[in-house]
Amino acid sequence: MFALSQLPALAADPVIRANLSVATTTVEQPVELQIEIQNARVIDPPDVAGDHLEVEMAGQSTRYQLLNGQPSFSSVFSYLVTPSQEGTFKIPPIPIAIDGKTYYTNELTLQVTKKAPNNQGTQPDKPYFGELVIPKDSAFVGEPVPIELRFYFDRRIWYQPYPQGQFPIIDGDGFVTKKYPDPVEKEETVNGKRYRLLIYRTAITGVHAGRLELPSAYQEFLLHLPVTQSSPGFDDFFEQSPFGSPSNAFERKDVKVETNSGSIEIKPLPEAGRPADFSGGVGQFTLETSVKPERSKVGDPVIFQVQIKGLGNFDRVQAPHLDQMPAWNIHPPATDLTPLDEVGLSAIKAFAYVLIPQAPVTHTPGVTFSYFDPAAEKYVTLKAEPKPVIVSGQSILPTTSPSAAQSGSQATAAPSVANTANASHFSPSRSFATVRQQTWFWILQGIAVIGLLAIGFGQWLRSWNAQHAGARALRRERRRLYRNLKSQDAESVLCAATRLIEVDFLLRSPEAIRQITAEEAVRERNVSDPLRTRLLELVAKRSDFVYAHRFSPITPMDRIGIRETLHEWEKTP
Amino acid sequence: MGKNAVNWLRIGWLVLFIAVNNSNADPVLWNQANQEFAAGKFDQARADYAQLAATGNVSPELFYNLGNTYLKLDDKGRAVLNFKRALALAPGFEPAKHNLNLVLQTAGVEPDEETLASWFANYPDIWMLGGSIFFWVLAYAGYSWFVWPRFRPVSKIILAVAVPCTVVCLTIALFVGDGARSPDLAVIINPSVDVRYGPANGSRVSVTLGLGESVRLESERGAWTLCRTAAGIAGWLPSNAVERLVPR
Repeated sequence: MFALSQLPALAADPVIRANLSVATTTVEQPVELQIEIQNARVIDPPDVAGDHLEVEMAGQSTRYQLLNGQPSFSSVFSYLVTPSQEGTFKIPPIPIAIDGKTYYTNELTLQVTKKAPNNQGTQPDKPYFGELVIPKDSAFVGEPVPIELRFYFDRRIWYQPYPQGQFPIIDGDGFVTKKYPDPVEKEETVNGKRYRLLIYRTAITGVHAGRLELPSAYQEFLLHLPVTQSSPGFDDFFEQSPFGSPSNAFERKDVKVETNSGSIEIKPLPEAGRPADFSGGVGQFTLETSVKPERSKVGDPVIFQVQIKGLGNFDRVQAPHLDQMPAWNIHPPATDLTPLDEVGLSAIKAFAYVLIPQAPVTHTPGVTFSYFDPAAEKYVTLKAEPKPVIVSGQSILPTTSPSAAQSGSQATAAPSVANTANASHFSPSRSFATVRQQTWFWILQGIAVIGLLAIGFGQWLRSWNAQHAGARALRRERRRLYRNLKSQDAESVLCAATRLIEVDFLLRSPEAIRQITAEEAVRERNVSDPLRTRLLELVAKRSDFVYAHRFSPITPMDRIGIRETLHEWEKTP
Repeated sequence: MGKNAVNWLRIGWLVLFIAVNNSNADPVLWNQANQEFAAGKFDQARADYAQLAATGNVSPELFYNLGNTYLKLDDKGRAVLNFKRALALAPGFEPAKHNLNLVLQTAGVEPDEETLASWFANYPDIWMLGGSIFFWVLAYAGYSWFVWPRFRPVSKIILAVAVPCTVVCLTIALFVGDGARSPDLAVIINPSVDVRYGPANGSRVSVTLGLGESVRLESERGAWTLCRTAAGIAGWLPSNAVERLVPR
């Protein structure tokens, strides 16, 4: 209850449905009426009343669920409706107040026939038996007559239709039956004994006039019969008291349970007063129409829906007749049948017509539907007035006399409605090939790839250059210094040699940028002692020359010696 | 440098213009077909339009006119096929859409509702082109983000826009493929046709398709074609009951 009070507001409009469990019943045989209210919270049960109908509240259920994130709330109110006399009774639209507004249920019709003759007296005191209930003595051709096939079983018998899912078979010919809904199980007292009862409901429709004989109907069942101590089998079943010395043993038995016979007089439909558009509908019907959209343009289709609702043989109900209007091109309707009870006697049959306006028009065609009312024993023609609609645009009707062939079930040829004025302009260079199939697309992709690679390569080159600029400068310097070794100037030769020691060290050192003196380089590198001595002498000689100005000439042999020393230095690991 | 760039742009534009206007359409044949149609010589008009279509230089108007011609010849199946071809080339081509819906309605077939998926499929080029453009913007912006730190604020904004756009466009492009212009797409040209479990008339029927329904062709065996319906049901149907949307 708390959860319900916390529900978010229900935004959708309330949807209200009312239906009867069966559309036909017999006097004093109750049927169930359900009123379902969706998207609204109604606490008090709606008041239901009908002439000659006793209505009792049977229960109420509520349901809250989330569908695709949308809250959905529904209440179902159940009533038992028991008719007190024979006839066709209407349960008028039931008012339901929701948030200050009053909504109404759909009108319901209940056909009540006289109470079935009591066949129980004819049945011997058996553990199981069948009964065929035909509530009427006569009907018209095409009029569906609801019947019941009742199979009674003693309470101690376990039963199951065999084969499972099998429905009863009705002997006889000259009639058609409706599809069976699932059977209903009940308990009933017959001649003072309690029986479990399996009821199959259907309807038979006589196809020609005359006495329709139904010899019997039968259904096979698989039974588990209790075995008595005296002797097994059901012949002496009732000789035993239900509580007198039963055993726990059961006997399986496959039996065919037959019902009594029955008959009904099928009367022909009267010829007198039969409307021209009568298509075979027998029952009580109502007619409603709607149009969508209510505003349209010439050439744009609108859907004109015609609903036939009521009680009768909906399988014979054909599309209603639409008035001829040159302004409308009428196409055959799509049909949809919504049963309102389990047998399908009460239903809504909807015909959705596609109407294509050929000219500006202000209303839809009128609709007529004729049927035979078996209660009144006369033909009835229902008429629905044209619905207002606004169609704008220029007429595309031919200037010659309009075709009269546009009836409700006749489709006209498409060229007259289609815009067949050919285009004179030709847009060139369209192709079914998508860009994936075009060469230029892949060339552009290639260019984009190359561009990206080129930028990457350029960037790598720049960084590589930046990384190796120091070493390159040192190598350039080394080449220049070697040239200086050939100089006649002793100072230049000694300076070049000293610098070459440093340059070689820097080139081969991973930290080539740092500053180092030739003396440090010689001491840091692992070289042989004679070579180290020679190198240090060379460095000292240059220092003497530069800082102490002690000049000593450089002979050609000295030059060769310096070169060899430097080569040895460069070869050291 | 600036002047050179402008000159190159001019040359590029000229090449593109020539490429785009490389029309092989025969205006004489086109006009002749239109005149034949106007004069009510629909068989001749159909032959001329078909000849124009066979040159490969097609247009929505050509298929629209051809559809109208088939309509006049009361061949609703091929009329639907050609209206669908016109719409595959130009999804917003209203006259073709209008006539297609009307023909389907008169044939008792519910016209296809435009769903998001069908809308995506109508524009396969947009998703592929958009996806590739955003992808390359993403690639270049990502590269500059790594390489040039000073451009990172700009790269970040570009990446924030390009990543979702690339993902969306390429996912849709992958989903729709060639979309409404897929070479495997075909249209039922018979009022109704049974799709069977095997390539034989005696084979069990799995589903019945109506005029104008689209199927995807998978393989052919003799006079039978293996197809897959929009609902995903695979089966065989007679080859003469179906025609490819993309003319061969």
